[in-house]
Amino acid sequence: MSEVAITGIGLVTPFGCGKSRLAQALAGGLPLPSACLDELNGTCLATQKIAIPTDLQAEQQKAGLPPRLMMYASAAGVLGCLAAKEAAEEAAIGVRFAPERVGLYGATGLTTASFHDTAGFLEGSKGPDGRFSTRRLGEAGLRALNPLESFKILPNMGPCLLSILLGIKGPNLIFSPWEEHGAAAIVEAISAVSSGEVDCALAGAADWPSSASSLIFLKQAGLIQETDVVSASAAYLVLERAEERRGGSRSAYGILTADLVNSRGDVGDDPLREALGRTFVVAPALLVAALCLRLTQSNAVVGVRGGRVSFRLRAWPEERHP
Amino acid sequence: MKRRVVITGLGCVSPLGPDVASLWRCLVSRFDTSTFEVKLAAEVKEPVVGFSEHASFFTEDVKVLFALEACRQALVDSGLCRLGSSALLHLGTSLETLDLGKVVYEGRTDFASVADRLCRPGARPLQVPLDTAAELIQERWGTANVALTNVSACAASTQAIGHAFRRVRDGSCELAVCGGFDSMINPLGVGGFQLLGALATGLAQGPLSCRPFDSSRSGTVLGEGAAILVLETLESARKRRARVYGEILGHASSLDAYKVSAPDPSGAGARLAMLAALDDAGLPAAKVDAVSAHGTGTYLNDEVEAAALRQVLGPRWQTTPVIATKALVGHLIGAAGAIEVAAALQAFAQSALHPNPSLSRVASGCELDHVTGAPRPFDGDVILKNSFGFGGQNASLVLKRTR
Repeated sequence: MSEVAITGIGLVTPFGCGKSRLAQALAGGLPLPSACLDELNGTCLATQKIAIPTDLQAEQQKAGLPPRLMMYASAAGVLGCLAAKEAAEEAAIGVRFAPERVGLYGATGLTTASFHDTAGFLEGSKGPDGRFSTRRLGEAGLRALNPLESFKILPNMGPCLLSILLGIKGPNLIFSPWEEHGAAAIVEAISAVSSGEVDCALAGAADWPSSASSLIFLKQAGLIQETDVVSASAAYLVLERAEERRGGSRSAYGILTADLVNSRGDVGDDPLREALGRTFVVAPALLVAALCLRLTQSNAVVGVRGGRVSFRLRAWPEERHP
Repeated sequence: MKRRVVITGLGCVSPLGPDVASLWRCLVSRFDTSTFEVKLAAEVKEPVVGFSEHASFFTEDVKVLFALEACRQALVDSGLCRLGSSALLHLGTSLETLDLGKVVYEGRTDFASVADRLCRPGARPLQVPLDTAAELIQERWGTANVALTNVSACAASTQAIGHAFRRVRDGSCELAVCGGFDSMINPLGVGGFQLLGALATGLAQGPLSCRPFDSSRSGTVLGEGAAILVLETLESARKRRARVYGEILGHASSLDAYKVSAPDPSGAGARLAMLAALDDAGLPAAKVDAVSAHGTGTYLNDEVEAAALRQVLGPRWQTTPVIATKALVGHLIGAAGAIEVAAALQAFAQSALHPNPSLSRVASGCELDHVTGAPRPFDGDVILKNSFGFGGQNASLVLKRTR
């Protein structure tokens, strides 16, 4: 089994798109830009803070994401595409590897419904008694819904969109919905690269848990406290075999190993929580990125289901970052 | 030396019955679809019993109960009673069930009213996370070393089985409980697929509405259920004197990277998954004795799969029998691959391939050696199983009879 090096990182956080934005924010001690969700004004969630990346449309244009592709993408899907593109371009995977030899190991969060996208559908599905009616759904609700919404809610769509965007055709796995599942994506990517199943792997996650529907569920399930900030984010990493990277005299962030076990011990422990808020399924990839960028020294995340992942990042011998 | 991986436990809940023994029967519908274009679905008719503490899932997310029952059957069948620290649990499924009745209520459809109602103590959850089945299985039958929930759409459970196979083979775990569970037979599921134009409409064809590879196919029919397998090494199975249903020889997955709404018409992604799975198994395509097709009954998928199969099988495509289990059970989406693996294992056990009863005239471009009419005697050793998901995810498994 070969050692696995990290050669690309792509991030979208509430501080903005790109790893440099996160690095500057954390190095500068900037507070997480957070706000409350207007849709939940006057409710028990009125004071629950969320943090979301802004100016996404401008970022999509800047990144050159095809507008048509983005019609199929949920908000989390857009974040995933932006992060994956940054990571893939840094590692130049499009020119260095055959598409069939690049694997995709992704994770996604809870299914979310955007009120803005579904308002007509919900209103049209209201029966004469004011309750949901399957009859009305068939008569009017479905007609008010853009068929593309069906793609947006399928959890595999985000990673599939980025496979189309980046031309990735190799082995793949997509997990959901918590930290341990985000960790599993990275663990599987390390295994696939190390064993030679793929030459390169894109691994990470994207999530938008700061929508109204997700906040309601997270609150119901006792998974967020009033003091938590719930953040939308995405993080993707590019992994390659270290020996081949060294052979090509190329630099890397470091050599990564990971260990995931179902600890059933303490739950919900994320060392970046204070800096980045609750990022759930994205937390493990964000932690690896922060380790690579030397923004943290902590190396373990425990998910809400008790899965504990610990990462070990060994310095790249040349001590040089891309 | 790679470890040999065999299947020693099998459990399933399907529209054809509540267990593996009753895997062949018919189709009806459950909620008022009078205003839907789609009138058909393949439902699980027998109620799942024995999980009274989780009774709320009958209304909130019935697929969780299907998973629990299929897991119970599989563990009993294998003679094992717990998961444990050397076990991997890996289940495939597709989409969370969001109860629209909780969103549209008392004339209001905004999330503020939903929040006020549902954040009160005792309120039932707005949605059921996709890993709930894995959590409940572990509560009941012990904690696995790693528990995964795969959401690769229609390829999810084939991927879950394939991944579990690889982890047992490479020694990462000694035991794997894997498969899939799903139900899209709810207003949002049926409505969503109707919007995509993926479902057969009308009632004219009755239970023969899902017509894989037929010239009159008009879309798939949603099904529901679960199928769970227990995997372990051949050595361990022999030591325990466990019944062996078959061996898994190889697995691979690929991506079309083409469109989210349609498969790559060249079939390159599908072909890549099949060839890589055969390579993983160390077998040439000439050794494939039968194929369990993805065969959804949708226009594009069937034609692309048939073309890819002809390319993979070469001249032998004319004499390699192909079964399409969705014609009988409907499309179980995230559980489709697992239920079709169960059907393929039955083909080994019963030395017969089930027919595709809805195939009367093979569509142009879908030419293969389809099993139609009556069950066909089958003495072959190797079955290639395909699953292709929305978004372009492809997965194949190579199954072998154990004699």
